[in-house]
Formats: sequence, structure tokens, C-alpha cells
Amino acid sequence: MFRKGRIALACLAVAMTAIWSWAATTWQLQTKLNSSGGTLQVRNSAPQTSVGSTVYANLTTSANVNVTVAAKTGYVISAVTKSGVAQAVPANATSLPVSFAKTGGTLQSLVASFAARQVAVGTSVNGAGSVTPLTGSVNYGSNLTLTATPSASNGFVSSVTVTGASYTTSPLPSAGPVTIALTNVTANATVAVGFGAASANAGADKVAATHDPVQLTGSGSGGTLGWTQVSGPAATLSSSTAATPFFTPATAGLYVFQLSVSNGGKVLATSTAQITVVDSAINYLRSSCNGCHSPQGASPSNSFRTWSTSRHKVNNVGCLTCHSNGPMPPTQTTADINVVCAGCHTVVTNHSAATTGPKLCSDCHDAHNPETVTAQLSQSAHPAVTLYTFEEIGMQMAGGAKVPVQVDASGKGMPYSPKQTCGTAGCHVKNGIDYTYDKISDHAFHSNQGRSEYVDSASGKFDATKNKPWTQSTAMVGKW
Amino acid sequence: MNQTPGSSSVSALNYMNNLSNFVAGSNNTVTPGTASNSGSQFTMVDLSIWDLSTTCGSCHPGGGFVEKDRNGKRLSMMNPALDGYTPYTMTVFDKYDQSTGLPQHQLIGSPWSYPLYMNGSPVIVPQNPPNSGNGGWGQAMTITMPDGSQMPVQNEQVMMPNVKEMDCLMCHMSGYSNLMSSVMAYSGAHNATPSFGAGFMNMFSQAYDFTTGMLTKDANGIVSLSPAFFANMKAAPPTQNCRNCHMPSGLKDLPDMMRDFLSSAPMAYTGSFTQSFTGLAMPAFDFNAPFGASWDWTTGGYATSPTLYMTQTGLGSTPASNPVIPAGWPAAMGMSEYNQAAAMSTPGFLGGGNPAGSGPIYYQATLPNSGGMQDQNALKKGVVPFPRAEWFKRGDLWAEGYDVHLNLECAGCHMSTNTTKVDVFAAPTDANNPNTVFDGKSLCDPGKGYDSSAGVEGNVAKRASVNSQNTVKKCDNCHVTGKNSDGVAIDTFGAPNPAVAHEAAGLLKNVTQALKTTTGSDEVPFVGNHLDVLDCTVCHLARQQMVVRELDSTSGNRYPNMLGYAAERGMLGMFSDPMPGMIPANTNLAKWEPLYTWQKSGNYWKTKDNGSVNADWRRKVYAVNIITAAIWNNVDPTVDANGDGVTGAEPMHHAGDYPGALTANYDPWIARDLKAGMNFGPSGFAPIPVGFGGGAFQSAYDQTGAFTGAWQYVGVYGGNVVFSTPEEISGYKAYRNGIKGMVDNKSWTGTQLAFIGGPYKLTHGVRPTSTFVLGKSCTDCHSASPKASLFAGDFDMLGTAIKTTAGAQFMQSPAEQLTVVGAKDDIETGAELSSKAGGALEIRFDELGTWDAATKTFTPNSSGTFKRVKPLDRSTALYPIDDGTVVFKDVTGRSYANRAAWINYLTDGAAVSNAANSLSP
Repeated sequence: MFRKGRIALACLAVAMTAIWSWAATTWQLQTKLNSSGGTLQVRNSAPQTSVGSTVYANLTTSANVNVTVAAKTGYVISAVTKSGVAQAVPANATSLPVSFAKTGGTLQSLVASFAARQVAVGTSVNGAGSVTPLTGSVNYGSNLTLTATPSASNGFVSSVTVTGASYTTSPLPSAGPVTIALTNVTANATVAVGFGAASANAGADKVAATHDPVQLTGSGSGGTLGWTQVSGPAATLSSSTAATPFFTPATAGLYVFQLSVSNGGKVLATSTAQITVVDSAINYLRSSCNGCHSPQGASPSNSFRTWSTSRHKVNNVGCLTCHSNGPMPPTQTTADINVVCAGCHTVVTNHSAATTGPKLCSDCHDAHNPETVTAQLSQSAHPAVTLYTFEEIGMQMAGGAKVPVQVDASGKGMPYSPKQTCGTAGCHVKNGIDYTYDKISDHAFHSNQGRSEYVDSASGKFDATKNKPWTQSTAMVGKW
Repeated sequence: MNQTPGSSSVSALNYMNNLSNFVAGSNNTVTPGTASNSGSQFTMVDLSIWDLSTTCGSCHPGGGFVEKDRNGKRLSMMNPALDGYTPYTMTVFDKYDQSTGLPQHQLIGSPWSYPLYMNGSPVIVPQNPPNSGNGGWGQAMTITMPDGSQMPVQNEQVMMPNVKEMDCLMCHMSGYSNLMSSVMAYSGAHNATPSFGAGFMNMFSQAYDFTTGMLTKDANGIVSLSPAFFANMKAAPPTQNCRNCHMPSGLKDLPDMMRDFLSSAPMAYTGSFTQSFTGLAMPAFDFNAPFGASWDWTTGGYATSPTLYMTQTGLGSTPASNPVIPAGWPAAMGMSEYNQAAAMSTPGFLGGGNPAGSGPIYYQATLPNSGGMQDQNALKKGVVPFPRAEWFKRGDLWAEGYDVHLNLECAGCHMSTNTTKVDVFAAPTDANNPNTVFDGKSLCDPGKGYDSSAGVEGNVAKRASVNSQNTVKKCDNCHVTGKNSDGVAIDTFGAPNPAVAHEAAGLLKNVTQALKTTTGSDEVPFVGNHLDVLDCTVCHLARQQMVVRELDSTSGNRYPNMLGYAAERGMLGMFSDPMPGMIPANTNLAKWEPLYTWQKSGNYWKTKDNGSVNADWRRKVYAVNIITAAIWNNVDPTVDANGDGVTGAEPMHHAGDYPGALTANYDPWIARDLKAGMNFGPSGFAPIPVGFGGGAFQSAYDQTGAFTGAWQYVGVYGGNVVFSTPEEISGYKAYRNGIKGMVDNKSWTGTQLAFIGGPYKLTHGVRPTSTFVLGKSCTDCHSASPKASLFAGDFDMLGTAIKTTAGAQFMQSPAEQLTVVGAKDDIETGAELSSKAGGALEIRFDELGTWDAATKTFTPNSSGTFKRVKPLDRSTALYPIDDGTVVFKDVTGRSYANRAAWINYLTDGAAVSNAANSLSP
């Protein structure tokens, strides 16, 4: 009894208050949140957060009453109805002020609705492959999973680049499919997926001699390299995963090695290299090349014959060093022969632009035995040289002029002078320096015997106060 | 072994007084008596330029110092009356008493010019205007030659210059004959050496030879070079031209000695100065004579060799045999003491007709009416035929089958280097004043490389001027970097990169205690790989060749003691195929192992030439041959043995890491004085010392040529006596003191027989790795029985010699390991090496003991009064002398108690491998 009476008193109190308020206003504002995801705030009152219930505000003021509609994070304002009239809501608006005035009537209302904010995820593909879903949108802050799948048999996902969101992916490169998990997407994001094609190159086939280390020259992309021996005598590679492992063949034979590029246990690409190991590289070339390229062969040539007497042979520069590998190695064209020669002979002395001009190496040198000079330049190019005798003879008998060697019927004559014959100015010019006789005689250590490295005196004259200084030098003579 | 520097400063020496004596015309012959010759005119002009020209000129191309003085004045334009009596203008003419061998030297003018005659008449060109020099330079006088012959000079007679100009063709002409130019150089015909060496002049006709096709002449007799000659001209010197002087060559047979083994000609003294300025001429030779059978082995044995003669169609011989050896030389040439009858009776006589067992070279100079007494003056002045220099100098090899780089030719590494260390000319087109800025090499210099004995080692003062280090291609230049030491790209000839093979062999694992520099001056230890401590040569060289180990310079000439040949076959063991059937061909070469020791200065200076720190600097172990010089060295501080102003001093050994400057101030007796004390005799290969005095050691040979047994050993090269016992050594010193008044009045009491070993870097002889290479496994070196004696073992320092069993003949006697024992104060030894820290490491290789003179037996005894020369302990060449303070630690930090324990560790393959494997990869 007592409890009922107290509740009744409370209800009466509320009603009395409303009656008293109503009695004091002239207009009323009713506000309601039609959906979750935001708040309403009438002037400075406490924000209205409750969904579905109408809040009444009895007002007497003639001033404008501002109501602020605000979306929570991850939401946008989807609709606002003012006194039954829908208001224009900018796209993705998260805050919207609505103003009411007493002049609007005694009963005015505001209903606000909210919707979850959407963020777009776009994708781009570079290479052969696809990504699903290709495009889409997700609620703000939610996750999205995409799948990248190469389309080629040797294809692999080479790269994934995401902007605007955090993501995780399986290790790359990967043969796929690759899952790209975007998490907590809070902004428009782009996903760029690159697809590559795996490759394996086991390197050129080689000819090698037994007991010499043979280096395989493999290369590959798109996965892990792996060498396996396909056939041939047993060989142990220094590494099965390095690109350029080596082995030392003990016996002759055809060694075949396969280079695989694998990804995730899937072999994407393979390549093989054949190493022909012979006891004698020369004999091999003789049988392999000279069969056709001998003077009597199908493609007659003296190449092997001239090569076999060359330093190329001695230094194991064989046919395949210059001619590309294949069943029918092509002849080097004149256009690229200098390039081939320069592969080893990077610098060649005693040649200059002035002497060689646009000539090719093979213009003067036999291509297979370059020591054979075909041009015979020296004989034809050098001017005739007269022998001259010593300069003192010229001073005494010819007023200083050079005196040529002249013989009688029996061949008797004065000895020739190297200085007068070979050391004349203007004859031996190299790099702009005129190597006259004295330039060499005075200093080349084979000849000068210490003449120029020490001086006896300031004038260079013999100084008797010094102990055998004429024997001093840094190199050739003298005991000090 | 060094001596205290003492007063060795060259600039402190003063010879003015001596010069005054000289110019004043003091007695210019040595007079037997008591007067000292110290500081005499002889020492003043000793090593005169004329000496350089004649003795060094057989290999050196000429020019430079043998052509002109430092003012550029040609020696041929000098006149002693105007230019003074100097080493440029004068020389000492060595002369000995024919019977006693005692000195009678005299001073003579150097014949840099001589009066010109034409058709027997003097060529006179009056000077116009007078005294202008434009005309004959002759001044009336009579030149008296050492043999008494006179050479009159008339006023205004044209003087023929006789200087040795630089001979371009010695290097650049394929087919140049060094032997012919050598003959001319020794003869003193310097102006003719280029003509004879090139083959322009014929030795027989002494005239230009137009049959070779190299020369042409026009209607006026003007001589020109033909196109065929230019076909023989090479910009890069052909290897054979380098080999003419440098490369060693195994002796195949007797003809090969003249054809390919000698770098200078044998010369005999004839005393005839109308033939040559030195009285020297090429001796007679007969390759058919030594064994009583022809060199071609197609004829039967005989007592007298075939006589060779010239016919209109070529050479003939009686009895018939092949008169020409393969190289084109006549098999015999010249008149010997034995073939004079044949010479007189055979028209066109050329040579031969000598008794079996004589020759092949004839130095015999029997004095008339002296009962077979040999002319000591002639023998002592004869020229010992000099083998190619590298055999003597380094024991290095560059021959077919011995080096994988052979086909690159010498020029491949020594000329085609693109080095920037070349001379610079401020006025490059000015022929007379080019203002040369000298650098490491001139246009014509081959790259010289680096060697502690090359004279270019570590001379900081000369680094920016004449430093020729790094002017030769090094291994890594072609095989690794493709650039020379200046960083300039080079022709690598496609050299294979060894990295793979090195890695495969485990040589790149960091397991060694290496040194580098971080500041350009410090030396910082670090854990490096094997290539940080081993020079390429250590693993890639193999030696199976005849090599000189000791150079005996105790008699005035130089005679080698060898290793690497079939010593049991004696002298014949030197030849690979002396005669078909005589010994199995190509079985005479024996393996020998280099010594492995530390580079003194490292692989280059610690800074690069541009001043930056040389991060590649390392001090590595390298392979060397040691050549031990046996010299008589005076240590008496009151005696100046060689008259150079520096007296003797007690030797001083540096036990290791000596920081001071090295001072190699020996006081050795010079050749002229040494010859005064020895009796000389002829051998078939050289004039040789056979003994001394008239007593027990007068001669190792009797009149028949058989050994007397008086001496213990003679040399394999020619039969020269070798000092090897206390009796021989002490006896000789006593003898020298006995004759000092007749020589130079200098005491020999303080003279020691010194054995000084010097290292010579080995660079050639790199084998194909398919045939030889070390380091494929740890146990190649780290083993008790290694493939190379890197860490331990004996290194012989003396070589071999013929044991002189009384009654035996030299040619039939085997050689054996030479041993030398002397009174302890009469013997001194020292190997001049370097420690790992770069300090001087001078190691004795001898031991004290007792000596039984009757049995010639030495017994080691630390308190003995005799000393034996023993092999060098290889471990001493690598690691510090174990004096109790040295701590031996391996790369893991483990210590070893002493040197023996340390060497035991290093030669224990398992222990070394375990230590290496314990390190991080």
C-alpha cells in the first residue's frame, strides 16, 4: 500500500512538471534518432543517443534553435527530416546543423537517420593473372580478402602493393593463388598486383677437361634455384642452390645438369646445361669442328689448321670461345669480329687510331692465328734505310754531315752506327714523343748502366773526391 | 750478414791525394816489394768505364755510360791530356807474370778511338780552318800497346770512334747473334759489335756480308737495309732475344753450349793487339774431341778428332764425319796446341785434329821451353764463358714445357703492360734537351718487377724517379683484376680467374695469421686466408732443372756449384743428351725445392703511388732460390782489401727484426788480386784455378790431367778447385801472406772464407695446374711428408762438386754434396733473409766441431775449433729464432711451447685442419 502510494505520487509529480512547463512555452521541438550511428544535440543540451524515442523540447525563445546532427565514426548521415520535410544531406556527411525558429510553428520535429560509411577498394593487375574481387566496397573499418591467381603455367605473383589499408599476404614471389587480406579498411584503398613469369637458364653448354673445376653459370627468377644432375658420371656440385656452383669432373663424359626454379614446391621453370668433359679439349674440337671445317670437309676451311698452331690453342681459346654454340656455329661477321677479339684483348699495345684506323683485327691478323700478320706492314711500310757510320767520322770528314756506310768491292767499310742510322729525329715518334736515340740511350736501364741516376758533381762531371760514383745506380751496377 | 757501417759513408772518402799521385805520373806498374798499393792509381780507375764496356757489353746493349760521360761527352771525343786521367779515359790492364802468375798490372789509356787507315795508308783530313775540329783529330804520337806493338798516329789523321753505342737490334731484330756481338765486345771492337751481332758483317771476312739478303748496296757501294731485314724487325723484342742474355737453358749437348747455353762468348788471351784491343780472341773449339767420338755418334771412336776444312762447296772433314753441328756452326774451329801439324798440312784448314779427351774449348797456352808450364797471364786473362744470366742470377726457368705462360713471350708481361710509370719529357720533340723526368721505365725498358735483389727494392728515396717496381704484370693483374698496378686495363690474354679453384681448395677460408696496413705505415695482424700470406709462386712453381746454388768467387773468376742435375754422372750429368747412347736422354734433371721465406718489404709499398693507403699490401711468403756467394772477405780493420776506402770489419748478424738500415759493407778482395794467388790451368770448358803456390796444393791435376788428390773437390762446371778443408783454407791464407809483398802488401790474416746467401725471387716455371699445383689439400704442405718442404727440412747452401779421387779423370768422376770445413775463424756464413715483421734476418748456417785431418772427418762439437758449413734450416727462414722468449701461437690462440712444437703443429695435417675448422666460416 505504501509503495503503490509512493509511485503514484511520483507520476503525479512528472505530470505536474510537464503541465507547468507547457504552460510556460509557446512552441515544441520533437527530435528522434531513427537509426543508430549518430547523435542529436539540441543547442547545448546533452546529446541525444537513444534510438527510436522522441525527445520533446518545449521552447519559448524566439531565437533560432540549432540542432546538430552528428554521425559516429564509421557512419554518415543518411537522412534528416525537418518537420516532415526531408533535408538535403551532402554525401558522406558526418555533421549537419539544422536550425529551428519559433516562427516554424508550435510543434516542430527533427528525425535523423544514419548509415554505415562505405570505403572503396580498387585493384590493378600488371601481368598475366587476375584478382578477385576486382573491385568492391566495404564498411568502414572492416576487412576484405582478395585472391591473386597467375594465369600462366610458369606464372607467379611477383608483387603486391596496397595503399590505404593494412594487409597481409603469403610470401612472395609465389606461384599462387595468393591471398591478400586487407584489415581495418578505413579509407579508399588500392591493391596493385604484379604477375611475373618464372625463368631458368642453366647457362651455355661447355666443353671442359677432366680435373679442371667447371663452373655452371645458371641464372633464374621467380623462385628458388635448384640444381640436379640429370645424367652423366657422378658429380658433386659445390652447391645445389647457388646460381653458379662448380664441380670437378674426374672422368670424361657428358654431364647434364638441370636448373629448376621452384616456388612453394611447384616447379615453375627448368633449363639444362650439357658439360662435355673430355680428356683432351683439343681432340674434342678436332672431332667436333674439324670434321666439317677441314680443307676436305663439307665446309672447307683452314681454320682448325691455323688455329692449332696458335696461342689461342695453347691458352684454351677454342672454337666455341668466339663462335656461338649450336649445331652450326655461324661465322663471325666482319661487323662483330672486333667485339669478339676485344672480349679478351681489351687493350692492345702498339696499335693506335693513327695506325689502325677503321681496320678490323682480321684485316691484318689471321683470325684463327692472330700472330700471323697478313698485311706484311713492316716490310712495305718502312722507308728505305741507309746505314750511316759514326758521327765523329762526319765531324772529321764531312763538315758534320752524316756519312753513309760505303763498301769497297770486298765489302770492307766502316762499321755502322745505330745512333746515326736508327736514332734520327722524326723517325720513331710515339704518343707525340720523338724517341730520338739519346732519349733511350741515356736512361733505359739495359743501356745507361747508371749514367743518369747519380751525378758526380753539380755539373755532372767526374768528381775525384767521390769514391767510384760512376759505378752507382739503383739498378744495374755498383756495389753500394 | 752485415758489418758495422763505420766509415762507410761514400761522401766522406777523399781520394785527392791519390789523384795527385796519379796525375803526377807515379809508377804505373806494380813493383814487387813492400810498397802498398792501397789508394793507388789502380784503385782509382778500377771498374773503369772501359771495363764496363768490355765485360758488361756482352749482354748490355751499350749506350749510356759506355758511350758518354754524364755531361753527354762521348768517350770517343775524350783525350786524357785534356780530360784528365780518369776512369773515363783510363783503365787498368790486368797483367800477370807468365810463369809465376804474380801481378804486373799497368795503366793504359782506354782505346775509345784509334787512327783510321784505308788500304794501309793513314786517312788524313786537314783541319779547315786549322784547329777547328773540322778535319782529322789525330795528334802526332805513338801509342804503345801492352804487347809492345806500336800504333802511330799522325797529325790530322781521322780518328775512328770506338764506343759501344746502344744496339737497337740486340733486342728488336729476330735472329740477332749475341755470341758474335760478345766476341766483338770482349775484343774491344765496340764500334763493330752492332754490325757483327746483326750479321751485317761476317766474322771470317771482317767485311759486310751481302749474301744474307739483309743488305743492299748501290752502284757507289752505299749500303742500305733490305726489305728482308725489316721482316725481322719486331716492335716487341722476341723472346729469343731476351733469352740470349737472360733465360737459363739446360745443356743438351756440347754444341748446345755454344748455340744456346752461353750468353757471352768464351775468349782466350792471345796477346796479339794487332787483332783486338784487349788481346782476346775466340778460342779454338772442337766438339768432336772431348769423348773420342763425334758429337753425332755416327762414326766410331778415334784417338784424334776429324780435321775440318773449307772447300769451294762447303765444309769437309777427314776422316769423314758431319762437319757441321745442327745450329750451323762448324763442329770444330781454330788452331789449338794439338792440331798445328794438321793445320799446316790441310788446305783450307778450319779446325779439329785434336786428341780425344781434349776440348771442347782450348785455352792451352803452354810456354815455350818450360816443360809444359802453362802461361799464367794468358789463362788468368781468358774469359770464362758465362751462362745465361738468369741461371747465375736467379736459378729461374723459362723454357719449353716449364711454364704455362711460355707462349705469351717475355714481352707479354714485361713490355705490353700499359704502365704509367714511364719517363716524361717536358720537351718531347727536342732531341737534345728533352728535360726528361725519369720514372720507372723508358720506352725501351722492359717492366722490371720486384725482387729484393733487383736493386729497386724498397728505395723510398728513388720512388718518384727511377722506381721500376710495378712495371711488370703481376699474376693477379691478368688473372683477377684485368688491370695493371696503376689501375689501367691491360691485355690479359684471356687469363682464367682462379677464384673458383681457390675456393674449391679451401684457400679462401680465413685461417691464417696475415698482415695488412691501415695507415700506410703500420702493420696490423688479421685473420686472413691463404692468399693473404702466400705468393702465387709458392703453389704454382715446380722445379726440375739445373740450378746454381753457390757461386764460387774465390779465385778471381766465378764458377757455379749446381743442383738439379744427375750429380752421380758428374760433369756429364749437366747435359740432357750429351751423345746418343752415352746416357739415357732427358734423365739428368733432378727436382729441387725452392726456399720459402718472407718478402722483405711485402708485395709493394704500404702506400700507393698516389699516396693513398695500399689496402692490398701484404707481406707474403714467396719462393726463392738462394745463391750463396763464396768470397774471400777481409774483416781486419787495418786492411782495405779492395782499395775502396772502406776497411774490413767484424761481421755482425742480426737475429731478426733488425730495424736499422742494412749495410752490406763487405770488404772482399777484388778479382785482380784473387787471380794473383791462384795457379791457373786450362780445362775443356774454362780457364780454371787448379791450386796455389808450389807446395802441397800446387795443383789438383797432374800432367796427364788426372787428379792428384791434393784437393778434395773441384767444381762441376769446369774443374776449378774449391776450398773445402781447413788445410786448403788456412794454407791459402798463409800463402797469400807469404806473397803479399809481391802483390799489394796487404795482410790476409783477417780474411775469411765467407758464404753469403742471397734470395732470388722465382717467378717463372709456373706449371699448368693439370700437371702441378700445391694447396689442393691441407696435407700438401701441412704434413710430416709434404709435397713441398714449406716449414721444415734442410735447404742446401753449397751445391755439389766433383770429389777428386787421386788418379781419376775429371770427366769420369761423379759429383757429390759439397762440404766445407775450416778453422772456426776462417769461415763465416750468413743467409740474408727477412722476418715476418720485415726486419733483417741474417741466419748462420754453420756448426762448430772437431776435425780429423787424416781422415778428413768433421765431428760436431759446440766447443770445437773448426766450423762446418751446413744446410739452412728451412724453419728459420719463416719463423723467429727460438730464444726462449718467443711465443708461438696459432690462429686460434693456442700457444706452443717452443719452435719444435710449433713446427710439429704446422706439419700435422689433422691438427691444422682441426684448428681451421674451429674458426667461423
